[in-house]
Amino acid sequence: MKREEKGLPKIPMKHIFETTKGYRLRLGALWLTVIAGTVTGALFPHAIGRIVDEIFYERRMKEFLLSFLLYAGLFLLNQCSHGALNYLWAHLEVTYVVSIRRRCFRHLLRLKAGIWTHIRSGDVMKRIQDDAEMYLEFIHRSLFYVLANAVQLAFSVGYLLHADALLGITAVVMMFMIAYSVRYFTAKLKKRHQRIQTEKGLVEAWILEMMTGIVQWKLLNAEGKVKRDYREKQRNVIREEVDADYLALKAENINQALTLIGQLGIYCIAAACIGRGDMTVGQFVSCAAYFSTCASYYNALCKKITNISSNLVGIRRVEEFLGWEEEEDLPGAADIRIEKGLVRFEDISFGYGGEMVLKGLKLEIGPGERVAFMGKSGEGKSTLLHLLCRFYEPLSGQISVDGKGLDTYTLSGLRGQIAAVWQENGLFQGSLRSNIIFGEDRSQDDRIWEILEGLRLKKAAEEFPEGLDTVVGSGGRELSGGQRQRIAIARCIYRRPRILLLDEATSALDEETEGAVNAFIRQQLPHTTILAVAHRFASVLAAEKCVVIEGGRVTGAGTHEALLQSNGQYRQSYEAYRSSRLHGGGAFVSET
Amino acid sequence: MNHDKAVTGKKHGGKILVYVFLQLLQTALALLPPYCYLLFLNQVILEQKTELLVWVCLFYVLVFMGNALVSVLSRMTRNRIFPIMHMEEKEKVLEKYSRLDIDAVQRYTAGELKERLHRDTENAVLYKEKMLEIGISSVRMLITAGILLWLNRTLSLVSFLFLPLSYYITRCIRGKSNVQYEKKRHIQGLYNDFMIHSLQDWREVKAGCLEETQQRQFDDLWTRMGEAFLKAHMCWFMNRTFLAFKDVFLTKMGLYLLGGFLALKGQVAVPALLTFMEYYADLANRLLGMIDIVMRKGEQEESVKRVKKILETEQPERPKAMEAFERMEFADVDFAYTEDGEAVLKKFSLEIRRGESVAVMGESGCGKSTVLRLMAGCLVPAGGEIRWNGCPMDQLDRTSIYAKIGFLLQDSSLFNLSIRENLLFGREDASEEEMTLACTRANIMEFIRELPLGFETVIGENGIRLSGGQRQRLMIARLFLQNPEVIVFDEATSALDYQNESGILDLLVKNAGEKTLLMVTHRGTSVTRCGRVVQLKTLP
Repeated sequence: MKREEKGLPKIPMKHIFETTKGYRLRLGALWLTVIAGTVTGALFPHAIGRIVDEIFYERRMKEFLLSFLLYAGLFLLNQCSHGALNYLWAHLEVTYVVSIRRRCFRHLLRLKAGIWTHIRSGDVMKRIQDDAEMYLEFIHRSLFYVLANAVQLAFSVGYLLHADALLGITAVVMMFMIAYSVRYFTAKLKKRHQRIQTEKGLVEAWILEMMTGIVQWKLLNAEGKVKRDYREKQRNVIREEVDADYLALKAENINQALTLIGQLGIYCIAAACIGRGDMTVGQFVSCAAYFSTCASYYNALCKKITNISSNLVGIRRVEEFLGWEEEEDLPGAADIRIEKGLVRFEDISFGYGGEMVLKGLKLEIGPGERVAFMGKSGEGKSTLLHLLCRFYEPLSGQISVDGKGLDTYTLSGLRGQIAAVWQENGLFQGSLRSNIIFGEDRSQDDRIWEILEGLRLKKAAEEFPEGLDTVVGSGGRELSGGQRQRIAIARCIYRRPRILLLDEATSALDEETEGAVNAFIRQQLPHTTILAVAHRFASVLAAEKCVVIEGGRVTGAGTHEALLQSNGQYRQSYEAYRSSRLHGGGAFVSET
Repeated sequence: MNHDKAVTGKKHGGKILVYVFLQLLQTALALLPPYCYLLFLNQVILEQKTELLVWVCLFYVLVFMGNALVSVLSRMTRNRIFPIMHMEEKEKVLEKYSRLDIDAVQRYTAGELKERLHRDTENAVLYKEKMLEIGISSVRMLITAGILLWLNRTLSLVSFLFLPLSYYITRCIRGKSNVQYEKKRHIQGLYNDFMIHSLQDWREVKAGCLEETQQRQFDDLWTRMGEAFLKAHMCWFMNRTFLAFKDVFLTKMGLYLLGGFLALKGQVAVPALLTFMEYYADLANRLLGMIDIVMRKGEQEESVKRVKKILETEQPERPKAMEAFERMEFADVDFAYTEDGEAVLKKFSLEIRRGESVAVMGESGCGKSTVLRLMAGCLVPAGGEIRWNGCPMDQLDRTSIYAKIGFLLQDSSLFNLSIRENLLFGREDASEEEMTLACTRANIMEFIRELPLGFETVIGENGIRLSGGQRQRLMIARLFLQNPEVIVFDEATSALDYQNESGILDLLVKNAGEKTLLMVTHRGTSVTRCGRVVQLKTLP
């Protein structure tokens, strides 16, 4: 048995063992049912041999019936163990495997931001769904069943050797030959499967991407491109699959040929034995059955060993995924309450890997101040907000809140006191209420309505068929970009953060609504420090202070009036804005 | 199904016939070894004619070689049929997706669309293959049954009595497991969407400390999926056990018992009994295999139905194609998001002629974006008509519109692919120079040049590694490559800073000499450059 396993890649046993915590008893029970099923199954040929002999030689009715009852009993036992096995397996599938999936998901939520931007949804979803399943597949099929097959095999070989030495030896020699050929083909097939699996994952990720953006490519009139790309990708996968299929067929035929040679050898030897009177016909029937079962156990082993490699590919993908870096609190970090909300950026330098985005940026934001950031896109305004959420660590310099370095706060403590609204806002699956308070606590409804009213969303929400219970987002009611942004803002207001980050959070609103929303935020959160990345003067003017960022540094900071005096870029932008306001009149009004 | 079969039959008819023939040949060859076994038992073991042993062995070897040859041939034929059918089925569905109106595909979630295109089509073809397998298996079973009758009539007749029982039991349980599979599939769809959202909105999750909520939802979905799975699996298993009980316990053992009695009474020879059991094992295995197919068929049938449904989704005929853009008009268009909901547009009329630059303004939620979405066909008016070049939109082939109009709507986004791939969506055969030019005009080339991988840089999940402005400029570059006659902008420049925005607007206005420009905006800067401003008001 060890022979086949030599050709296998290293199995991450320690890792797999560690995942089974809490399920070991049940896995043990599963193992027992596998063994019970195996042992009872292994006795069938012997029972049949006895029946044949009773008929052929003894012709005694009573013994015949007794052998028959033995056979029936074996069968019942066998079925019972199979029942238990199936139930346990399905049960573990929905507990043990799900526990791994949950662990993956928990890990996913804690991944470093730098990793988040690199992952593909389709790939991660495959790891969590399909690859996680491979743990049980591996334990059940590869470990338990391989072991069970080994027991069956040992029993069969023992029986054959006991019947006749030459017969047994022939059987064993043939088995080893089959084993060799199996090992050879397994190695080859393994590589193919790995390649196919990767390729399939990529195609699946691509399809998901295309289906998510189906409106995009339709509007771009790019149907032709999508169809051609898809055909190309699909064709490659199929080509690989067909190739692998031929190889598998070749392996199957060669193994069958070897099995046949063994079978014929056994027939010949048995014929001689029976001729000499050393063997009964019943024993021959049993021997033939044991040899054919041992050959089929071999084929089963071959299959399972082929599967081991694809199972391991899955397990390794999950293991690798679990190894991706998580966000961590520094030792000594504590849940510190942000009292004032004084934010200080000290000589911050940062880049996403390529060029530096921030180059020694210095800035202080007073407690409860509202600061607007201006600057061209790509100058690192959003990056500042990311750094403050500790999505990334600055390469040099330090960010402090209330005079304490960010890393003295625990991540959850820090983020629990900071709220952020990004430019694109997804809705989470669930009701409108749960999208704002993340729960279904109806006692908060008055508060929610109050916030919605302030954000000028009340009217729209009141029209929803089920009010706050209306399911929004995918599969539910679709909302406009401006509505989504305001729901994200409502979420933040409800949380009453110490620091609020707004990253172009009102970009989809018209200026009037924007002004109202900004005023409402201030009214609701009077002592909150607000950092807003804005492109519109409606938001800029709502701030007490404006900061102009250029070339990764602060080139101007101060009140609107001060900046008009001192900062060229600011003045230019403001003038562009003002002239547009002046000339924007003369509107053609279409009554809707 | 019949219709489907007819179509595939025409296309692959010849190959399928060859395949069926080869499979039958393989069946015939597979039936020979037990007969060899009978010869061996009778002649060699019982009669002790050792000289025949060589012939028996030779017979076995020949049968095997024949079998190997036929199996290779039949696999070759198979691989020329079913993988191609897979491709065709997938392409059919994708073709349908591309034909359907945008508002029709939007009724499905991305997860559902993917599931139909990817898994359901595979299952649908698998279904056909399995049905063929059932046909071939039936032939094999018939032949086996004939041989059994020839070997011993009494035994055969008893054994056949048990066969109808299998089907009865199967049918009883099938419905139950189907319901569970369907339930599981439904939850799977919800789960897929949940995951897509969680993966895309990770910043929201992190900054909002929503990890706990997300984890709860994840757990809940899997609990529900698990329940359905457990039930479906146990249904499947119960059925299997019933069958095993019937096939092995009642039938096979019954036969041994009966055969034993007959043998003891000298009515059947032991070799014949053993051979009978070999053939019978084959028959029972085939039947079990068939029932397995029938059992698992449930899931596939659901897939077939879903594929069929999507393929049969009605798509109104759009016989006319739009020529060069002259004008488009909204004539008394009414629109509401839900049937009984409040109207967003009421008797809305607007005309845009070639060469015009029009800005649509108004407060949030007054229906600006709705107007553009109606134009794009993402929404369908409840009343009134939208006309292009005087022709009602209902009659116009949508692709002929999309080929000439460049839409950049509020929810426009980039694909999670390389920058080059994204640009190629604008025009597939764009050359390197054209791409560079478009990017330069959109003011993003400098940025791309600085990237180590340049155009090959892959954009992260939904373009997250780009800032909002970069993302939009890239979409504008894509639009330039597309080079449409009309540009329809929806807040496309809202994320740009003022200076960048003026640059791009200048470009657009420069092009508007020949191009028509329609933009939704809520700020003054854009308006200064437009010839006409349309102010929308929220309906009272």
